[in-house]
Amino acid sequence: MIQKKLCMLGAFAVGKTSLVRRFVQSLFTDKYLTTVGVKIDKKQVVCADKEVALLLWDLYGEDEFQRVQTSYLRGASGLLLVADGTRSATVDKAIELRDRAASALGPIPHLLLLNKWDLAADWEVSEERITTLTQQGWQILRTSAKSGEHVEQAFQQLTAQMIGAPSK
Amino acid sequence: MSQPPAILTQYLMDVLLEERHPAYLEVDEAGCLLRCGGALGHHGIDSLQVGAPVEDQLPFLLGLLPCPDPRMVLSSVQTEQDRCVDVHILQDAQSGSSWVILLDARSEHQQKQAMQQKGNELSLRSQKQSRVLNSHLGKSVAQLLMEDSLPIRSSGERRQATIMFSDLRDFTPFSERSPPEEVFATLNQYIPAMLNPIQAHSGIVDKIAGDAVMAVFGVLGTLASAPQLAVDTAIEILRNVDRLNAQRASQGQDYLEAGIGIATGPVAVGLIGTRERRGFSAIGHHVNFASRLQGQARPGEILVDEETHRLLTNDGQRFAERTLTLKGLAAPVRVFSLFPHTRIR
Repeated sequence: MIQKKLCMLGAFAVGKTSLVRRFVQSLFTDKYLTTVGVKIDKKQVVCADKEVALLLWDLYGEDEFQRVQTSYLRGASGLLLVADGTRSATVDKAIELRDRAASALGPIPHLLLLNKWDLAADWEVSEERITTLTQQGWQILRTSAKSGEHVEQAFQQLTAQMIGAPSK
Repeated sequence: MSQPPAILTQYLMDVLLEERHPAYLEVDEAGCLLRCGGALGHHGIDSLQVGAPVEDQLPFLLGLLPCPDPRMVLSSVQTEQDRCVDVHILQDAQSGSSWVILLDARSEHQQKQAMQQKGNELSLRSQKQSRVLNSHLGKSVAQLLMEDSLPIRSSGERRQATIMFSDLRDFTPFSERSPPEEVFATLNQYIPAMLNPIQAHSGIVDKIAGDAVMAVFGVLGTLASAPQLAVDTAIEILRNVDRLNAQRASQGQDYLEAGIGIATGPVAVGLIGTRERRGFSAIGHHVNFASRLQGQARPGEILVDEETHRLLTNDGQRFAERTLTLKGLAAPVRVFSLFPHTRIR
C-alpha cells in the first residue's frame, strides 16, 4: 500500500482540525480547541484504483507569536492550506505558508481550502479575490467542516495529485 | 562552561527518566530498525521488529529519516498511539544511522494548550469586535478606533462638520402591517444602500436607529469639501434606493423612499461610553438642524441648510430655494431643495 504524508497548514482557528475530524470521523463540533504541536491521524482512501494510506499531519495554526517550523513538513507529499473565509487575513497567511513550505520542500502539490462556507453570508474573502487567486494558479475549494461540503473532494483531489493520478 | 557536579548530573538524569520516560530507536541508512529500548511501552509502542522498515511500524516517522541536519526536534507530536511526545532525531555522521528519542510531553502540552487557547480566543474576540465595528462604522473609522488613533480628542473637541440624516419615509406604517421577519429583511436591503455611499465618501456613520442613519462628514481627513461629500453621498443614496425600489416593485413588493437632511456648522465630536464599549458621536445645534431638515424632506428630496449650499463646489445651481418653519426655531429658515432622480410612480 502507498503511504503519503499530508500536512494541514494555515492560521489559527481556520478549521484545520475540524476538516480532518470531518474527513476521518465524519464528526463536527462548534467548540474551538487549539492544536499544540501536531496531531497525527490516519485514513485509508482509494484513489485511481490504488489504496493509499494517508498520514494526516494537522499542524498548529500560525499566529503572531509562533511560526510554523518547516521541520514538521519534512517528508510531506502534499499540503492542504486552509483559510477562514470570514477572516480575509487568513488567506494572506495561507499564501505566506505556501511560499515558506515551497522554499523548504521545493514544489509540492497543494490546494487552498476556503473554509467556513456554511457562514458564506459573513465572508470577507471576495469573489474577486478568489478569481484573482485562481488566475494566479491556485486550486481553490470552498469547504465547510460543519456541513461536510467539498471536504472529501479536497482530500481526494490532493491525494490524486500526490500519487500522480490523472486529474478527472 | 564547566560541567555540573556529578551529583547534579545524576539528579537531572533521574528527573528526566522519571518525568519524560525516554525511549529510543536506532535506524540504519536504509530505514530499518537496528535496535530500540527505554520506555517504549509508556508511549504505546510495543512489538517492534528489528530489521524491518521503521516507517511501516511507526508511520509518524514517514519521510523524516535520515535527517539532513545533525539534530532535529519536533515538539508536542500527538502520535497515532494517542500519546504526546517530543521527538528528537540525531544523525550519527560516522555510522550513518539515525537515533530517534521520544520524550513524554503531556504535561508541557497541557500547560501550553491552556495558554494558547486563551491567547487565540482573545485574538478571535478582538478580530470579531473589529469586524463588528467595521460593519457599523466603516473600515477606516473602525481601524482608527481600534488603534486609538481617530483624529479627534476622545474627550471631545469642536469641529466644523457636515451632518447628514437619511430616513425611510412611511417605514413605521410598513413595519406595523408587516411581519417582523419581513421588516428586518427589508431594512437589511435599504440600510446597506445608505451605509455604503457614506463609507465611500469618507463619512462616519454616527448611528443607525431603525430606518434612519446619521453620518458625519469632515472629521476623517480628506481634501474634498465636507458639504460636497455629504451631498454626493445623498445623491448616491437616493439612486441606490431608486434602484432597489425598481427591483422590489418588479417583484410586487412594497417599496420605500428616502428623505435626506444636511446641515453644516460647528459641532462637538468625541467618543462616548466606557473604554470597552464606546462610540463616536457628534452633538450640537447643527445635528438637530439636520435632523429637522430630514423630518421635513419629502420622498426623494435632499434638503440642505444655507451654509451647506454656500460651500458646495458642484450642484449648487441644481437646488431650489424653499422657506420652512422648523420645530424649535422661531423664525422661518431659508433652505435648499434637490430632487436628484426621477422616482418610481
